[in-house]
Amino acid sequence: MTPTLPDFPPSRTYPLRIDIAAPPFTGFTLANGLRVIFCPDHSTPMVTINVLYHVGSKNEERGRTGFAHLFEHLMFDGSQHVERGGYDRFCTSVGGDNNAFTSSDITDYYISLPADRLALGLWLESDRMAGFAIQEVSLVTQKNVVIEEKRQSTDDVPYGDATIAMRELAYDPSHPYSWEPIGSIEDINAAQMDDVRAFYQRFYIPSNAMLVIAGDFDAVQARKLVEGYFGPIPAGDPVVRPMVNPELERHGARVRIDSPIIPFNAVFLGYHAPGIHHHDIYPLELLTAIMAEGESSRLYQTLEYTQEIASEAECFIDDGELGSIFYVYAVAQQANVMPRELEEALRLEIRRVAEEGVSERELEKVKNKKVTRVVHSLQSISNRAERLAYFSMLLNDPLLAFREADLYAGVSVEDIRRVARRYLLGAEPNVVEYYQASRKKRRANAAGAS
Amino acid sequence: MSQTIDRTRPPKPGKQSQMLFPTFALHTMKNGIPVYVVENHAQPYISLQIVIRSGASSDGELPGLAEFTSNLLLSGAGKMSAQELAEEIDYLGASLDASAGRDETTIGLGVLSGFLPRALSIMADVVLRPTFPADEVQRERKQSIAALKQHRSDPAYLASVQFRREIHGDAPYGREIDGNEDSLRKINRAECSRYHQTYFTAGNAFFVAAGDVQVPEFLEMLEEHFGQWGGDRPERMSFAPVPGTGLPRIVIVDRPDSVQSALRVGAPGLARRDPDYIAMITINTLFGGYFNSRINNNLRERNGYTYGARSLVDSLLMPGTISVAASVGTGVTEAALREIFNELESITAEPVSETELEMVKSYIIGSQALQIETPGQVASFVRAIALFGLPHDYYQRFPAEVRELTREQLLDVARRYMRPDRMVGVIAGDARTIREKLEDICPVKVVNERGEEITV
Repeated sequence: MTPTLPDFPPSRTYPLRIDIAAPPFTGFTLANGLRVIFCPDHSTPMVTINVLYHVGSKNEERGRTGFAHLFEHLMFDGSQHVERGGYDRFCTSVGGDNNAFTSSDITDYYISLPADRLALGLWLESDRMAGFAIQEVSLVTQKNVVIEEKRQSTDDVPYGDATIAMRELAYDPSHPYSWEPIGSIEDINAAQMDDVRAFYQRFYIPSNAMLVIAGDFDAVQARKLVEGYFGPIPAGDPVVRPMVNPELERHGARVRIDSPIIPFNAVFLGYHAPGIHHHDIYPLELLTAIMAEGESSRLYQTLEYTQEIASEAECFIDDGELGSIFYVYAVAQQANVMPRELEEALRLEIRRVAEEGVSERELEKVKNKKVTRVVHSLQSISNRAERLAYFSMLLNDPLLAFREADLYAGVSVEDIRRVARRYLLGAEPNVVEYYQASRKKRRANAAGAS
Repeated sequence: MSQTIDRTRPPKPGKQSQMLFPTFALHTMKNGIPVYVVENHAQPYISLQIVIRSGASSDGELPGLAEFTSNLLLSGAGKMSAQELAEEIDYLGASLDASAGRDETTIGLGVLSGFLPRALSIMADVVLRPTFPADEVQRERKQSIAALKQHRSDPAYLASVQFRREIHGDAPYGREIDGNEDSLRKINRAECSRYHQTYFTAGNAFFVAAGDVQVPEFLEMLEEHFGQWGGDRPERMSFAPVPGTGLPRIVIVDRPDSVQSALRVGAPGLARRDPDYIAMITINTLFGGYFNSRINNNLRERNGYTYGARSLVDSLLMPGTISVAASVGTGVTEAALREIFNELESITAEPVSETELEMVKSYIIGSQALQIETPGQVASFVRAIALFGLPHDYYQRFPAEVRELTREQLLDVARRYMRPDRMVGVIAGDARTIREKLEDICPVKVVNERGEEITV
């Protein structure tokens, strides 16, 4: 049961084997195509309902960027039998909690409630799937709210526009990943009620959604409720989805941003990586942890600890169905450190890992971290519901919600080196450089940008 | 197939099951250290906090000393160097960190239960035997100065720091936990060591463990690693609450080019143990503490000025603050501020409606239940009981105490703490653009990020 660990020294490796208990879950599909998963757990008297719609910013058009996310806000603003503001009033007046997020690929809604209020949650969720009732006044208000959200989370935050700039470099403007889910202020302002109605009819349909209920409920009773509330909703037309098109990916482009609000210079490198359906995504995920997770990671040890040129050096994958971007970035530690110096240091570490590979112990370490993270996140019922919805909708395998760590267990040091070479040495990254600027200087393309 | 369901009206609640605050156990080590345990074996994971009952309030003449010292705990301890510590902790897949609050310092561990023995021995080194190597002190200084600069680039940070300066003045709560350039240059190895010796004592510590804890074995492990820890409780910091100013005023922290203004509007608040605390958080929730609150409905849902507005009760060992916080577009700064003052006027003018009161009570009681789902969440409540000296059945009794509150009690608390004429408004934003209009509301002062008055 209990893995035993010999004492220091740290040079030996001790593989960690933990069996994550997957709670029982069942699934079924309604006649209108709505997929449903039940994951009961009676340890606390609460339930979470997670509704995932398979629509995100990649389903938008140029000129209407930010629309999927704006629409997410509108979904809280009234449905046929719930007046404007009613969703939140019903939810909070019983002590519930709700929220939603929009990515390039999905829009995910959850509501957590005391167990005796399951029916209320299903009523609220089904009513906003069942029919369109969004009013113009909501559109006007939520446009402003979303614009302030963008200002608060990207425009007024140091480096907050880094991923926006990176997407513009990395993809042709016709690629739906060339913009961030938050969109542009101009496009958000341009949204019309006709757009709202059409978007709803195209994407907010049962056959494009996944419903997960987790927590303390009776499965027989819940099934009756789900069939009653969601069963009569018309299926809608099948959704046509954008396809992967590697022709629209760009490499080796560069942009310089002069910003008066950043504390230090910085640089972001973005490499194209495969989408979530490709098995290489698992070694690449582990590689991000080897590079930058924890204080023993490579970028921390080199750029932050030994060279003392970075106050922050990180690595992550922005993953999606149509492809991913593998990011490495660093923020300087002193005013006199230039973006080029950070870039050289980052590229050196990329080259080192691709050419020399990683040790067994390094790999074992990040696998341990993965297992720990999965175990920790499964403590919460709402996390379980969200993971079940994500893995079943996008990867068609709900069991991965609990077995995700297994996918990483099989990765070898050879795999890590192979993917590092293929994706990080095989192509030039796109580069976003940040220079600290005095007031009133704005973004300008660097010479030679493509 | 489907039973007929009436979609036109909300369904009735099902059979109610009461959510009770989970039980926890209090053990005492032979050297007197209290050990709070929340047992839950659903996942093989343990979180353990060692809490030292001193934090930034004990910085003395060197703001940032508590935080600096706690950051250094992981930079060399026992026989291990910073790099060896990082390697071991990461290898276990664990998280181990230390940080200072204003009243306390916390060393927190999260680990798979099978790795607890090894993690605990590292943790004991970190807490009891930090070595404060000279080169690590140097490194930490550079990193802290860089981090301070990073924080100050965030308008919300600038506004809250200045807000606390305005409310607490020179008292310990008025200072930045992460210090300032001057103090960070002065802090050295000897100061950290002295701070550690003075405050990291057995008499000044307690443990909170949550999750997959096997109690007898766990207590044995604690005796093994922490049984030799000694030392009394150091003298307690105490300082007088700052009196209200009696005049509304506005302070702008100038941030040229800001496209938003980060607002804080508030006043001195109350201590966590104050008998008014539950009434205070109830009226505050109604006012600005949840999505349906008056403040959010006004600023976000009615006017679209902001992505979100809220109000907070910051209650500590000594009286803290109450405040409204929002980030609004630069162009609507004055309008938003006026709306906040209007809402303060109305909450102190007449009692809230029965409907509003019922809704907020159900919300507070219900959301309390949703917040005690995981062992880690329960532990954070138990930690508050231990830190603030609350009765052990505090959270069991909490729902009933909320339920009994009346409109009159809430009005009374609002009138004592939320009077608009006692408020200080702090705004981090573009002073040139916003200053003039704000002067129509009340006197305005402009300061830089260090709180020094400037002219624009």
